[in-house]
Amino acid sequence: MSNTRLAIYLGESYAELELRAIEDKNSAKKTNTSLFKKAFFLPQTSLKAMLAQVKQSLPENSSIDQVFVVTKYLDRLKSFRLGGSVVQVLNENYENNYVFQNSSCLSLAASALIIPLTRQFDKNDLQKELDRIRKVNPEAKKVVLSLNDFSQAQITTVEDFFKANEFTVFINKYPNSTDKLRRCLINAGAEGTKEEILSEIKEIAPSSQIHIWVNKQFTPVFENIDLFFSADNFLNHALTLNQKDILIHTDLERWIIMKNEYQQTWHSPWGDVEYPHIVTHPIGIHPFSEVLINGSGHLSFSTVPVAIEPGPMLAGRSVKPLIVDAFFDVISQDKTMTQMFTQLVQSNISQKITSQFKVLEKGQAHYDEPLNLDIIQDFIINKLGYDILLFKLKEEELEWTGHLNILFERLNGTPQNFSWTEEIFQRLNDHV
Amino acid sequence: MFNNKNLQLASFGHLDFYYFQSFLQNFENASLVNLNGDLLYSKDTSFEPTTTSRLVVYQIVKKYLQLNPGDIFITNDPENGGFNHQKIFFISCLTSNLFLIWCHNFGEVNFKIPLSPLLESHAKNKMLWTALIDAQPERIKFNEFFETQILIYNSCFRATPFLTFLSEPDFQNIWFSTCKAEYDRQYDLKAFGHSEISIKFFDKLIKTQLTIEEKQNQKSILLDFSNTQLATHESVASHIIESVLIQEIVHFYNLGLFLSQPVLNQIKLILPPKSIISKAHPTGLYNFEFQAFFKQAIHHLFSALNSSKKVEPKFSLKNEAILYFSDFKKIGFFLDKNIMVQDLSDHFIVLKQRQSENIFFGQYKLISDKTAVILRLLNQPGQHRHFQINGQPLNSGDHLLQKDDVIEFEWQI
Repeated sequence: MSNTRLAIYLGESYAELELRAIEDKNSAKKTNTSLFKKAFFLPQTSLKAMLAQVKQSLPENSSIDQVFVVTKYLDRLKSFRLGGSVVQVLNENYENNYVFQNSSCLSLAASALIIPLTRQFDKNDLQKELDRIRKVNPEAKKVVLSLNDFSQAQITTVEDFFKANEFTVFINKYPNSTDKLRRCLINAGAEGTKEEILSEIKEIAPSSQIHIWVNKQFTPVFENIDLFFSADNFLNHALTLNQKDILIHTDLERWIIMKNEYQQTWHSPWGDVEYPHIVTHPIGIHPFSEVLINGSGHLSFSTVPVAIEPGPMLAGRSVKPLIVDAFFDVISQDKTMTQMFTQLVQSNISQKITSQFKVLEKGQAHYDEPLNLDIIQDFIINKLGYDILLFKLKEEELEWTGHLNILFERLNGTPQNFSWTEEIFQRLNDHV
Repeated sequence: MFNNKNLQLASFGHLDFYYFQSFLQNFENASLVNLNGDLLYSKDTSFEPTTTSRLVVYQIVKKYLQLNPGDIFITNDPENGGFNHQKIFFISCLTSNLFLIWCHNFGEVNFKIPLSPLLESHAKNKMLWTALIDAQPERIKFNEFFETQILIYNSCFRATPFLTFLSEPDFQNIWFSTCKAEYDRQYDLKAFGHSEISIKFFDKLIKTQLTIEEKQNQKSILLDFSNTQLATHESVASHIIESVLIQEIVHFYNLGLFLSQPVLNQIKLILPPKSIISKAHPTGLYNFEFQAFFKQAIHHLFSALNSSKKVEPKFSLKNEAILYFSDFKKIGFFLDKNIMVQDLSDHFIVLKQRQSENIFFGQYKLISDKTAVILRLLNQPGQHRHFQINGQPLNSGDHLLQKDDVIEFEWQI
């Protein structure tokens, strides 16, 4: 009897999917057959389209039994205001109290969707407020209740009212704490994105349970805030599993170093939240930093990475060279990366990238010997190496993961092939 | 798995700032200097800059003491290069030609620490540890703070080839040339000219003249405070003012990544001795107000360069404040563009805490018996930015809150 499992890594910019038929663990000979395995660059192929391809690869009359997801997808939200359609029900005189910790952080909720309540409220008050909110934002379907000194019966009344009006309700059980309110608002603000992901998976696997990696295991039960740390925790688990001290992760969307260190407070873009999490340190230059000539005529790298749409030149649509583009020669030799950037082998993208870097070389105003593509590559590799040196103790053992570990052969010898889905199945086998 | 023998340590021209940036990533406010005392690199948080203070404490150590690798001295003396008692300065040696000076806030300290050895050849100075750290009622917190700082300092020694490279005079000279060239370029991109303001602050006249002028190939920035009145009560050490001025100047010229000795050499600051801006206060009591004042003043001076008197924008000071509950170690910053107030709900009943449009309104009733409140407020009338206790206006100074007292603020951004 076989069991069909779908492993998904859903990153910020790309996804990797693999479907396997796994022989019953009680049978004498255990087999593990890969039915589908592919990586996609998300701005070019949607998750929905990828899942449709998975469905086509299913053997006749079979279905997906279990789905296992590791994700970093919610990092997309980090540069945006959240909660544009989240209603807040708060005590009167506590409107937007969560911003006091640092008013320069990104907003977590729309002021126009606040319902200030006094303890003398009745259902008519709620209905009037709901009518007002429906005029402001008819799409609002999530509500956060953070009511201090209200009786449990009153809170239940409010909760039932919104449930009856088809709202998803998030209750802050510690309304005194603005920190807990931020956590609750993040959960509410991320709900739409989570729903979107889960509903797309459910479409091809309606009867299967979806497990997300949270802390040290796959689980069907999680809080939305956990999704921001799923990939970090998954990587950290590999570190402890392999009994290493440091993990270097050089993937398409970030280059980081990680030790087994936890931090209590998450300094989120929306303010501080008490949420113990594994610490990661960025190293090197961000792979999506733009390579450009600055106002002084110097070659430089943007401090803020560019948006994933249109992404690097490798993907075929952008004309702005990024750090990853500087390594198109190595990347075009890699199977997974060419699967992701299909145009890399099909068209003249390599030539376009080369000439773009030539333009950058000629555009530098101040050096007799401008920084050309070779020197840029050299600098990027060296910078990553220095940063590792600053973190690593001599005796510490190191694990190196990520699809772009192939760029750093000079530092890591012969890089090992990396695959998220391979790691996911490995973890499932360990668990069994 | 990781081979550092293939790393190539070489100058990459203007990209060399990445070396320093990486090296100082664990520090918020820090400077690297060489044996001559020349500044190689400096980084500061936007709030309470201490670039010049760090150079002053380094010069004091260099004058009287021998620094060897593995040595750290500490001080917080506002009359000798320090900022206030809570800001601890660490003056350390990394190699014979590379010195690291950094500072970090530690709210538990409310007394003066004269220049003292914390670490000698990587070993803790027993006398200091016994007398200063273990003798404190909060010795666990003291130990934790200083141990953490030592740990961060020791992390600098992990990358020995890196350390050696940054110490090389050849590399340092290339870097200085890069910085000077960048300074020249940025200088030429901005306006030249002259602007000035005279304004009363703490009832004393402060006269400021900014002159951006190229003479005999010298691209200089001159800030002259001559004729500023002498200090009587409120005053500030010159390095406190210099730090904020330098931060604003390098910000204006986009030179933040290249702040080093060749850039400093082009900035001339004339602060009359014993004036209100050149006389250290024993506890650094007025640092906040003066730094906030000069930050705004220099912005104005740059914007007014070459403006005629008729169209010159009028200088109006915007209120900024720090509110500190010393017994609870809770702090609130009330700045021109934003506010940051720590959660007070452990010690106060939060009666009101709301933001509407761009106005922040907070009202808090004290639960415990009493607490000291320190308010530093850059205060100009006519702004929706003020504090009250029990309905009475609250001004800059030290105050005492009793049980059930209500403190409130209104702050418009």
